Amino acid sequence: MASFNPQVDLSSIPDVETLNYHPLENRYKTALYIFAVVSTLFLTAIIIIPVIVEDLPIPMFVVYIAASILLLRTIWVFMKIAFGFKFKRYALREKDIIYQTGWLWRHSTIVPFNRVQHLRIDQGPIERKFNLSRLKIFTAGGNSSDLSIPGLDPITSNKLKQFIVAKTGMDEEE
Amino acid sequence: MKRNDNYDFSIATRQSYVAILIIMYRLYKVIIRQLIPVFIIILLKGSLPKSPWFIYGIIAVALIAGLFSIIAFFKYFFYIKDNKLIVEKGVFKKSILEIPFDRIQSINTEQNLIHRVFKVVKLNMDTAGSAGNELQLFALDMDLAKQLNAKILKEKKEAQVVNKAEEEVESAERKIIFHLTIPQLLKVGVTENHIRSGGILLFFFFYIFDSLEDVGLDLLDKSEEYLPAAQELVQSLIVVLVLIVLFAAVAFVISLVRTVLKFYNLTMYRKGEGFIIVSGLLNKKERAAKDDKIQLVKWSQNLLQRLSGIYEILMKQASSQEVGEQKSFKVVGLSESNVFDTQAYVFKERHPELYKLPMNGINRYYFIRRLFIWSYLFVPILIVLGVLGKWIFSIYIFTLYGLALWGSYLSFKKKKYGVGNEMLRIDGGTFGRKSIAMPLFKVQNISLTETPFQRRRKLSSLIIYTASGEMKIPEIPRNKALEILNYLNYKVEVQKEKWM
Repeated sequence: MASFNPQVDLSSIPDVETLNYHPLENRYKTALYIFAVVSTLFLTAIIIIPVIVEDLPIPMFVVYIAASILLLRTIWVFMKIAFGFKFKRYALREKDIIYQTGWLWRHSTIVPFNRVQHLRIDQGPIERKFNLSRLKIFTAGGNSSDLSIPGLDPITSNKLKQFIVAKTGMDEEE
Repeated sequence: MKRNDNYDFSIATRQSYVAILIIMYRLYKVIIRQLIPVFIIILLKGSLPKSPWFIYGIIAVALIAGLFSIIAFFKYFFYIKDNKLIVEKGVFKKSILEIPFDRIQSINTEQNLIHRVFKVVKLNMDTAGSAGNELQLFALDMDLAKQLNAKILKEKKEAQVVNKAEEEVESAERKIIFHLTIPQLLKVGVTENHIRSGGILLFFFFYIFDSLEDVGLDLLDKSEEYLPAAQELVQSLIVVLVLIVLFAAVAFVISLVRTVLKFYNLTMYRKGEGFIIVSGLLNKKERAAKDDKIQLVKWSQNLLQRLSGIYEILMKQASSQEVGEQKSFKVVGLSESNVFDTQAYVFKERHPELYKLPMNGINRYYFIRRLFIWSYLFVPILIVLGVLGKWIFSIYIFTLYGLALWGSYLSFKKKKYGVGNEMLRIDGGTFGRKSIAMPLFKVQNISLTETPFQRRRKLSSLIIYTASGEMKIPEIPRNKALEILNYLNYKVEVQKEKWM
C-alpha cells in the first residue's frame, strides 16, 4: 500500500499556535458579571440568615468561616472575569475548530470536523436577555471532551453551525 | 421440546419455560438484597421472632413474587416483523420494545448454572447507543437461539446493512488463539490485585456497619466503651501485624475465588475480523469483539504478574454511551507472545511500528509536583504526631509517606510516550507496568492544558480523547505538545479510514 503511509514534512503541518483567534462578544462579559453579582448576593443572603435569626443552632465561627470563603470566592470570580475573559477565544479553520479558555489554568481543545457527531445551539434565560447563544459540538470522545463555545451572537453561532454541518456532510459524501 | 429447523419467528413466541426460574431468581435477589438489614438483626438476636405472622409474611412475599414471575413470563413475547425484533412485556403495563436489525451490533450469549442445567442460553442484544434500550431474552432453547441469531444476520444481510467485516465474522470458522489452562488460571488468581479485593472486603464491612446503623444499632456508641482498650491494642505492633496478615489472607482468598469464577476455561477465538471470548465457571459468557470497534488496546502487569511473567490485556470497544465494563474485553494469563499476537490481529499492518516507536520520558516536574503534594499532606501530620509524642503511630505514617514518594518516583520513571507515523503508545505504571496503544486515526479530539506552575517551566499536558476513553501525556515541553497536537490533528483530518 503506497498511499497508506506517505512521508510527511513536519513543517508543512498547520500550526494551531499561529492563528487569529476570535474573541467572544463583549456583552457576554457583562452577562458574566451580572451572573457573578446575582450568585454572590444569593450566597450572602444564605450566610446572613443565621445572623438575623438568632435562634438557629449555628455557632458564629462557622458563619465567619463561610463569610471569608465567600469573600475569597467573590474576589476569584471577579478577577477571573476581568483578567480571564480575553483568554476565552476560538478559531475556525478549514477542517477543525479550536476553543481556548482559562486565565491561570489554561485549556484548549481542538475538534476535527470529520469527528463531529452532532451540533446544538443553546440559549439560557440570561443569555436570551443579552441576545447571546452557545454552540455545543459533540464527538464520540465522551462528555468531558465535548466542546461548548459560549458568548456567541446567535447569527454567528448559526453561521458556525451551518459551516460545520456543510463540512461534515461533504466528508460523508466523499 | 424439539422444534424444526425453520422456526417461524413472525409468530409471537415465549421464552423457554426455564425463564420462569430465572425471572424468579432475579426478583428474589432484589427482594433479599432489600431485606439484608432485617436478616442481620435476626442473626444478632440469635433467635427467630416467635410470632407465626413473621413466617406467614415471608411465605406470602415469596408466593406473590413467584406468582408475579409466572405472569411476567406468560406476558413476555418476542417476534420478528419488518426487519425488527419486537419484544412485548409487562405485567401491569404492557410495553413494546422494537429493535431494528441494523441497530443490533452483536448478539452475546450467557449461561449461568441454571441455564446450563436446562441447556438454554441467555441472549443479550447489543445495540448501538441508547442505554436502557437493550434487549434481553432470559432463557431460550439453544437450538432456537442459534436459529434466531442466524435469522437476524440473514435479514440484516438482505437489507444490505451488514458490512463486509461483520459478514466475514459470522461466516468464518472459529480458531482458538488462546486458552487458559487450570494451572495458569490459578497463577492468575494468585497474582491478582489483592489490594482491590481488600477494598471490596472493607466495602462489605462498611456496608454491614451501615445496615446495622439503619436498623438502630449504633456501633459507634458501643465502640466508645471499648476505645481505650482498642487504642492500646493498636499501639502493639504484633496485633497490627496479625490483623494485616489476616486481612491479606482473606483478600487473597476472595481474589482467587473471583478469578476462578470469572475466568474459568477462558478461551479466545479468532473469527473473521474479530474475537470471540468465552469464560466463566458458574456464569458462562460468550462475547464478540470486532477489530474495527476496538479503539484502544491496553496490556499490563502488576507487581506479582511481573514476577511470574504473565500479562493481561484489555481491548476497549467504542460505544456511543459511556464505556461500561461490558464494552471492554479483558483477557488474563497471557504470555508476552500472546500479547504480541493479539495486538497484531487488532493493529494489522500498523502493528510493526508499535515496537519501533521512539519512547520519550516526561519532565521531572511530574515527580516534583507529587513530592510536594504528598509532603503537604504528610509532613504536618508527622509534626503533630511528633509534638504529641506518638512515636509508634508516626512510624506507620512515615512508612506510608515513604511508600507514596517511592511510588511517585517509580511512576515518573516509567511514564513514557511515543508518537509514530501511524501509532501512539503510552507506557506507565507504579509497581507494575502498563501500556496503552492505538492507531492515530482513532483519535476523536485533543486538549492541551496548562497550569500556572507548568507555564513557568514551559510545560503542558496533552489529553487525547477516543471513543472509548481518554489518554493523557502529562508534563511535556510545550512546543513538543503542540507538535504532537498538530500532527495528530493532521492525521485525523487527512486519513479517510473510519474510526469505527
